[in-house]
Amino acid sequence: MPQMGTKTKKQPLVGVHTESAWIRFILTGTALLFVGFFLIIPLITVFTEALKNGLEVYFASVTEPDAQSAIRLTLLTAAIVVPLNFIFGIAAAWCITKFQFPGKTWLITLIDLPFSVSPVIAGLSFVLLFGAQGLLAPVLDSLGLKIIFAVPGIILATLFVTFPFVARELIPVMQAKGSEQEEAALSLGASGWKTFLFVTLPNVKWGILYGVILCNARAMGEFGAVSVVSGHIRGMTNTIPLHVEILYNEYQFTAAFAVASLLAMLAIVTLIVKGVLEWKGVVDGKG
Amino acid sequence: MDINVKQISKNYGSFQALKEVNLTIPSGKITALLGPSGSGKTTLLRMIAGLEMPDSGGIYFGDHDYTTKTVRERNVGFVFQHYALFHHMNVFENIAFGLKVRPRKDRPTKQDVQRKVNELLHLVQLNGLDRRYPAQLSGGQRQRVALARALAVEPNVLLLDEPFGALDAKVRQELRRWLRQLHEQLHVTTVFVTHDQEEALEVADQVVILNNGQIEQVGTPDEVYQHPKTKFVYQFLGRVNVFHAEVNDGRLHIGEALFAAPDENIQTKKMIGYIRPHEVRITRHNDNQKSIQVKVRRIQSYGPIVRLELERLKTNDLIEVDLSVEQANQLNVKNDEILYADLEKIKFFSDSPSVE
Repeated sequence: MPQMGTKTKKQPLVGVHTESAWIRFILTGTALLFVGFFLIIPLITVFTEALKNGLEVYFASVTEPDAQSAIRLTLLTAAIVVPLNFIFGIAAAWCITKFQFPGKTWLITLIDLPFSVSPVIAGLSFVLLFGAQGLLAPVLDSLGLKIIFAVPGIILATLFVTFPFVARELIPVMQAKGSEQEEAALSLGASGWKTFLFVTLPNVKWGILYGVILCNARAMGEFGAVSVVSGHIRGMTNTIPLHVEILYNEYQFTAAFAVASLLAMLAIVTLIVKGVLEWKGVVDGKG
Repeated sequence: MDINVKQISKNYGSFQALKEVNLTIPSGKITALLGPSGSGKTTLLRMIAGLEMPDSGGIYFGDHDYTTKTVRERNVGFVFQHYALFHHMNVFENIAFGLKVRPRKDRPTKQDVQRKVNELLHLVQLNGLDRRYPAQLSGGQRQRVALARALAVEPNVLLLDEPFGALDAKVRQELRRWLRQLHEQLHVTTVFVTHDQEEALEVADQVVILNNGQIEQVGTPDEVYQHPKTKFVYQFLGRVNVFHAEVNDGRLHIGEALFAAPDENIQTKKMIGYIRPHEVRITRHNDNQKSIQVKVRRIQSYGPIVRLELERLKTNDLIEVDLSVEQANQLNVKNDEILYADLEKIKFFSDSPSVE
């Protein structure tokens, strides 16, 4: 072959695709139509609606005190939830991939629970547990703690909904890596902590980052569970998604879309970072 | 330092990986743990390393009981089958790892680490590749990085798990010779695991043959090849012809050939005999009672040897015989010729199935 570089180039697959051009066209067309209809058009709508009355109105909408308060609360929630789930995710993935213990399959199923339970149900269960008539109400009252209709409840609900993300990303990566490198590090005299820091962590860093990004996106965007526990107190317990809903219900469409565009931008940034990470992962040899 | 393995047993669920194994690994020598897959050889190696813990029994380094010591405390150099190099570190960082993770008070200075790594790179013939990453190295080069990394901590013992398993035949040949030379320089007590008998016989000073979690035989390569103690060793080490013999009047019969029974008060009715292809003598005339009549089926020339495929006249069983080119020329064997195969060097074992 002429001009063979050092890197092997992808060979076109010949003779594998036996489907006719028509079928391929229909399949590809359907997929593109779906993506366009359900993702691209709504995304464009958000930005056009938000900017319909000009930049001035847009900035006024996102800088008014209630919006500012919602943004602050959302950032606070993410700042607390993401690090906690980061630690939980690594711990869970570590124990599931490196050890054998009874009940392991159960643990894996349980980690997935927030994916399979409706967030509204999750929120309700927190209300039943921590609310004014809830099971733990006497304890909380005597301690003077307020969880439901307050910031702690929002953080708890978000924590619950987002806890699978990091673990779910990490488990397959760590399973694929096996534990030979860790054994090698230990045999060379490294302590358990140094082995984790210098060998395990660098090996799964892209998986962790990816999980953290998804976790963050969900933590900022969560609506259902947070809606149930928050109480919708303006300027106090409203997050960005809740604020958007209130504005919308009050027919302040432009303001609603302006605030919503903040979340949409977060989604776009997330997608770009995810793309870069996947590309980095491929370049680093699935590192 | 000698390593003594005493009465080691290990079970994985209902599978018995090792059954009361006793073994002495001599100081400064290369020992091969040889056996088929599932024989327990890798388990034994990992136990010496401290990567697995025995259910019962003990492991002694010199006079010290190391049974309960962790892999960190044993100071062993372990080379993994797939090398387990740290992919995110370059060659230099890989080799330096064991020095850099030491507690602060024992950690060598930067200059010392640099010097030590350079020495090792020179030793494993990888000068100039210190900035490469494992993904940029060939299989043989990775293997040598893994070896240098293991040697950096100046281990009590060097343990290698199937060191040449993942390499192609030519590189394997070179690395074997090289490992042997390296050992002559360093004299580190070395244990390696292999399922390749040729590799074990060529590289090791002592060969340990394992089967079903038990040691079948320990000896020099010459001892185990020339004087196998068990049926398993006979069959596992090299090619072998198998004959069934009947006991009659205190003598052993293989067709028309007669042999003295190994034990005069022999109880069993049947015995089984093994003879290697090069131990069979081919003659034109029956000059002793230990020969059987055979017909030449096929003549194949493999470089310095000529392999004859012979058919026993009475039973139609096939046997293999290796001759040197000179012997073959002298005999001038032709296809379908009737000849005599002299089985004088045959070795008999009782025909009862070996204890599983």
